[in-house]
Amino acid sequence: MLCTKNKIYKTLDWFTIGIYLILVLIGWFCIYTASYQYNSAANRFDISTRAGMQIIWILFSLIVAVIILIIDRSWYELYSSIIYIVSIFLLILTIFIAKPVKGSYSWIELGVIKIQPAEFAKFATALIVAKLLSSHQFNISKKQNIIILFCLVILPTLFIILQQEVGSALVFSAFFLVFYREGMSGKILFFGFSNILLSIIIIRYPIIVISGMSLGQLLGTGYIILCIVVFLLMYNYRIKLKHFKFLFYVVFVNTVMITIITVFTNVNFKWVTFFLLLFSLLYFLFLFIKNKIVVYLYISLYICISSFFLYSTDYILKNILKPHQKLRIQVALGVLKDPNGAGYNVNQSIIAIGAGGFTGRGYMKGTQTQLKYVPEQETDFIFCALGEEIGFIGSVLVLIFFSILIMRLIYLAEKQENIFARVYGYSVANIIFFHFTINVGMVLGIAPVIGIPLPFFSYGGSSLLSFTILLFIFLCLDTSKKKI
Amino acid sequence: MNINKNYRDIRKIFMIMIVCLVFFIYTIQLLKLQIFNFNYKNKADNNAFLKQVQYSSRGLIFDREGVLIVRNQRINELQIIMNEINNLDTMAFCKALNISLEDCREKFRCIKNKSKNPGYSPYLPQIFLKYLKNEECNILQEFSYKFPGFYICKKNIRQYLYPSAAHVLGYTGLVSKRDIISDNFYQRGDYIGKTGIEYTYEKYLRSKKRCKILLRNASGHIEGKYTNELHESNPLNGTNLTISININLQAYGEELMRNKIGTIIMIEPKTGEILCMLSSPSFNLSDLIRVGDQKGKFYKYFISLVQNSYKPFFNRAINGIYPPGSVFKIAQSLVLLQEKIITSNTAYSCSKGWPVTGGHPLCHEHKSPLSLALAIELSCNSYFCWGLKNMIENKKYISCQNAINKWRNLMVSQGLGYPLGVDLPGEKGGTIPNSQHYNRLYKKYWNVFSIISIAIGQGEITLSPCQMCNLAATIANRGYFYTPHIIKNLSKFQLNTLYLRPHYTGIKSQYYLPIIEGMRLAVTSGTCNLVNIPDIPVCGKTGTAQNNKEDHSIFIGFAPMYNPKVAILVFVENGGFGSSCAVSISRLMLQKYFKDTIPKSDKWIEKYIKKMGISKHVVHKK
Repeated sequence: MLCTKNKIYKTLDWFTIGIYLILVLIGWFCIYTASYQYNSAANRFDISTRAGMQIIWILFSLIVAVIILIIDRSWYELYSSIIYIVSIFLLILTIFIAKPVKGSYSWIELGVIKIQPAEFAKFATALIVAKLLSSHQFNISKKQNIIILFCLVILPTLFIILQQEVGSALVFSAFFLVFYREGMSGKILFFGFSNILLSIIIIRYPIIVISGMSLGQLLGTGYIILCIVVFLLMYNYRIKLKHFKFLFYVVFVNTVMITIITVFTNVNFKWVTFFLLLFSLLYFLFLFIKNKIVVYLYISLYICISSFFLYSTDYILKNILKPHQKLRIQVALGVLKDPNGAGYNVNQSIIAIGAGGFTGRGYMKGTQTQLKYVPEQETDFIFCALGEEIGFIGSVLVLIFFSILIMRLIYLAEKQENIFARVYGYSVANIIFFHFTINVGMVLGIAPVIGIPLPFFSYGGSSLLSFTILLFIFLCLDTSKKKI
Repeated sequence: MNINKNYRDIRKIFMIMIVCLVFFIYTIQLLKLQIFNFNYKNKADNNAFLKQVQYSSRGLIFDREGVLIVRNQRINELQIIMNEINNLDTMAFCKALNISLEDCREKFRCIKNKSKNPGYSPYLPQIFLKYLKNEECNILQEFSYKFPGFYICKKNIRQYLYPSAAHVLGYTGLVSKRDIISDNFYQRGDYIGKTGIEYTYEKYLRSKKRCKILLRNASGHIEGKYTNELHESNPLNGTNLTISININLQAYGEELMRNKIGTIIMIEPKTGEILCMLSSPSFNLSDLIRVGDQKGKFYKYFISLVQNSYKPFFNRAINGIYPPGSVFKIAQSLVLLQEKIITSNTAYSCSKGWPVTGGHPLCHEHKSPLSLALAIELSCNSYFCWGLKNMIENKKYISCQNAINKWRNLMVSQGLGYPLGVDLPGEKGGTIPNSQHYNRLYKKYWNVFSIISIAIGQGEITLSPCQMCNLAATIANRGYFYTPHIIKNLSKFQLNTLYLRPHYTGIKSQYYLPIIEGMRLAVTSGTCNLVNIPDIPVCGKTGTAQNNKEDHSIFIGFAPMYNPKVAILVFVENGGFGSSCAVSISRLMLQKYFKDTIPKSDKWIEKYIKKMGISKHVVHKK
């Protein structure tokens, strides 16, 4: 036992642990200033204050971290399925026994402390994904394998959505980047990304321009056509497509014809675009059947999915999303300005960060932070406190720390010879990256308001503990990279 | 395998690129927010800082004897910030304030109504109640947690201890938008001097404000005080003013002038200090400034004053210009003496009119020919027509244009034709025509007969009453004057140098002697022997200014003849022939000034004057 510990001590990546500790420490100072009550006599280490509570969580997390490091690394691979099943079970259980907290049913109360199982589902999923990908007979390019992988990721996501925690559920999309790294076809990633972009365009420009078509939908149609052309160009470069020139003309003539039709006739433009997409879909399917070139199938698939998004985005926005979610998305994309309603948080957080200036207003002296203008400023909006009181210097420093941490994790993951460790490492890096991007983006007013915490920073035991576990399991696995 | 490795390398770089991209986008956004935009600091300050202005008192005003005339009274003003109001318990609020529910709703409606309250913003304090009684104030402060958004602001308003001197003192009022723009000292809701010396000496009278900055949290509660020495300064009371007005004299004058239109001005010739300056009809400052719930009442009073056909807001003493009439003959004769057109012994003939034009302008019956002193005593029109004719036609000026310009320069040197520089707003200059004026009027073809009416102070000549009084002061001083002014003492500040040095007229002091002699004769045996007070040698000159209604009655004079103490002007609009009205008022004013009481023998005059009402009579005529 002593021998193992000694070995771990030597092979442990202290650099990552150092950054981890720095981030947790800065985070604690931010929580302290953000939760400081004016004129309150409470000691800063008092458990009743959030800062005092966080100290306990930090200490507990460190103990857990040490325990994780002591446990033999092969255990994680062995028990990953059990951990996954247990976490799924917990998620299901949560739906039934949780009491509503701010509209979500994701907290389990264990006496004094509250736990959010969704946080722990992340590392469980990461473990099971790593386990699956590292199994010998597994080949990611096979379709059924990809479907199994997707199912593993989507299962916890579904339960989390049922808990009304859409933010946490979205985090699981970080796994697609992992799959991509592990050899998943880039087309799937591109499909996903392209359709998100399509939705954004449609929501961003909701003004009706012509016969029932909004500007966004028009631009979306244009975007789909552009993508098809780029596809064709790309594949024409690699494998000589027979009808390439002809195809190109068809698309071109189509566009010209549409323009002419709309200008000179009274036809409903909606149908024109619909038939354009339908005919091109049929045409590419026909080509696929005739020539047996897979590219045509992909293109027809792309047209199919994109069209679906093109026509359903508006419907989803209006009828499926909840009003507050719809508002948040619209505010984030700049469609609506609502400084007192949905945009209040972001508006105040931008004011707080902007007020910071280059060197900040001084620790404990930021008015926005001290007077609690930003709601949720100890948890999701913790970056505001930093931005206001320490200013540009502090904010950029923390951005640098996060970037270095993520890149260090990618670097470490790349070094692993064990596939399990590598996939897990990538998962950790991507989950932290996703949290970081969305959280800071939301505080800076770039990303929509999705309530997910900033790793190691935000107040909250579950969040800190789950990230610590996530990170230290990887560090534990990492000790095996240098084989003796 | 090799291809596979390469493939993976690309994807690894892709991952790292994404991380770097996010890092750069966020850094750029931080730069945009924190370095290149300065608005956010202001926005944060607007969120957090609640400026509470603490007012100290405006400068007091004393009269020349040191009697306090204007002081301050402290009022509690209830302000409201609409944006901070939530869940107002209207019933409890009305009960605390002792107002009815309807009143309360009406007030909210008024505040929100942009046409009635143009500066409305839900984020800025609005005046809810101008005046709050102390008990209500205490209740409200006690339950302030119940009524978020309401603030009590202590303010000072003016209190007038005497109901007189309204035109001189002027009133204060809430600052206008233009005032705020031109001077950032002011904020909405501040008081500023609008007229009179309140306006002129606003910079001295106003108090230095103290700003207390409170920290307000997101839910609108006050968390404490913002300690930053830059923002906090000690409040300083405004400078106290001593004015040269004698408030008793002023009050007595106003009593005499009741029901008459006109003005009384008394100047101390040795210093130029104005002892008394009143314009009738006047108004009551206390009524104007009245506070409390009577907003409607205040407006009614204000509007009634503005619409009143007698124009009570109009300070006739300096803002009105009138033809001076015979009073002008004094200035005329001084110019003639200075230009050596006449000597004190020169005599001209008169035959109930000016013989040259066949008896026009008319004159009253008296012996003929007359010397200068007698001409002044009897106010002979023909004498001055002769004099002006001889001056205009005198060969030494080459042309009549030069002659009239020379004449005008000497008039201006006596303080006529331009604003004197009295420290009250809106002073008028009157007109003394020059050659260009006549060239324009008569297309260059004019001679002395075209302009002869200026010889007797009619025609194009207009003067303000203050200039006429200043003329009397100039004669009393025998050749110089101090610019008339209201201010006597500015505490630690220096008076305007304009008021400290004498202005010499272009007329030698020896020429004043025959004039004074004539004015003395006018009192003892001439046009104004009503002002002949037994033990005070008064010198005076009456005037009747013709206009389209009844003549204006004017008297100017000074007393005593040697070592004069006071110069006086009484101007009664449409008062009839000079002697009766203005002269009797002068007599009473001088008695009051020198003896402080009216002797029993003069009581009947006082009674008669007080009874006399001219303004009503005029309205009837209309």
